[in-house]
Amino acid sequence: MGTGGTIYQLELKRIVHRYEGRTVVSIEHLAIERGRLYALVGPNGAGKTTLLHIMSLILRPDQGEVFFEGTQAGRAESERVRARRSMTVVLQNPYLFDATVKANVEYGLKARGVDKRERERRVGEALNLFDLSGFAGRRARQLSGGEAQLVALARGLVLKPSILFLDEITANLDVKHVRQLERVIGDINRSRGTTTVMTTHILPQAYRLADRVLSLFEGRIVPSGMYNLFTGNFRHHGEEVVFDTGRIRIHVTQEISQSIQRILSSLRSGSSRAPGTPFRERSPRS
Amino acid sequence: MLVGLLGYAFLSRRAPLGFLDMIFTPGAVILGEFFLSLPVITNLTVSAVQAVEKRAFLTAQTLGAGLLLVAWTVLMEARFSLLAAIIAGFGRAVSEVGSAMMLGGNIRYFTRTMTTAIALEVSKGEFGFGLALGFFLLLVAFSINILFHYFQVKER
Repeated sequence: MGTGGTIYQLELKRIVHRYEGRTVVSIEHLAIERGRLYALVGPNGAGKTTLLHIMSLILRPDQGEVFFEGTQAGRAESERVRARRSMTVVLQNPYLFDATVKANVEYGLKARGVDKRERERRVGEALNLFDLSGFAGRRARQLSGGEAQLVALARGLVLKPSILFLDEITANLDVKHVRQLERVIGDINRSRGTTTVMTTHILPQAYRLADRVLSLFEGRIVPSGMYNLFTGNFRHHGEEVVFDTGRIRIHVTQEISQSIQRILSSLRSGSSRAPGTPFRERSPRS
Repeated sequence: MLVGLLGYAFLSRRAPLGFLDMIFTPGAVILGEFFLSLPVITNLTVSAVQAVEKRAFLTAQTLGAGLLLVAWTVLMEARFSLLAAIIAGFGRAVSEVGSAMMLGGNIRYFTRTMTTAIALEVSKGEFGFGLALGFFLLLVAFSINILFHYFQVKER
């Protein structure tokens, strides 16, 4: 339940998750609105995949609560399975079962007890969406990386989920397949109103596709500008230093670059202490 | 032999399970062979399931499978290794003589197995017949292995 009684499709409250003693995700509050397309950006190891797994109820966080359609995702596995059936996750390196493409695509439908005729119709529809109709009888393990990714997406979309989670699905694809996937993701979000949460480390892709971009850094959601600063590079050119964030490029002296690094370092350590954004201690509303 | 001995200790007339009246019946032979091949099949099955990628488990979950379907899916992913485990267990059971002899009693047309028949023929001095039975046993084992290999190649 959001403030003022708003029911978000998905809401995370005071989530903390640790791995081998290290806090990998720490989110004070995150609300996902119905029908929107969110991009979760962040460098490798920022906690994007872990957060995605928590949101999709695959992973139980060490602390905090996840609300789906206003109801807290319970402790009982059967309740979580029921909620998970409204969602679909497509993984970065999709795992295709050692069976035919058709068997892979209809797997989720079988799990939901959909009858055979309806399964055939929906599988055909999903394969058509990616021009994969001729692949139905082929062994899934014989497909190329790009084709496998398309099959994985078809396998997710055939379920007509209310939330679609996509984990870096364009990471290992060529330009042609990236364009095709981006087009389909946008179309599905617009035509079916499917809420989509995608992780990516490609900023232009996030801004190109998403209604909202969430920047994740060291397990925390930070303002996008701050994220740009955190992930900026310092390059030395003789006496001069270039600070490049991808959006801003400034030429500074060695002395100033050291000052910038000191400030960023103190902001980073602040972000690992305080909940919410790195500025929370000084500005509680941030 | 130890399985046979233990089985005999439990199944013979005055033993704790004597009331089952199983000793010297095909049931007793089957039970003995079952316990004999159980460790082989269990070990190979555990290895096969462990070898299945964790992503298979995760993928089944993300597609809305409940615990039973997830377990079934993982077993299906390991099906070739599981079949190999069953074949190994079969090989173990089919070549065994001690427990079949002790629990079955080698009764003609009732509990006599290929291996107990070979042992009997050799002890009678009918070496040639014993050898022929041995070849036949090998043929059965080979045929099953070839059949398994054929299905494996065909499906892949």
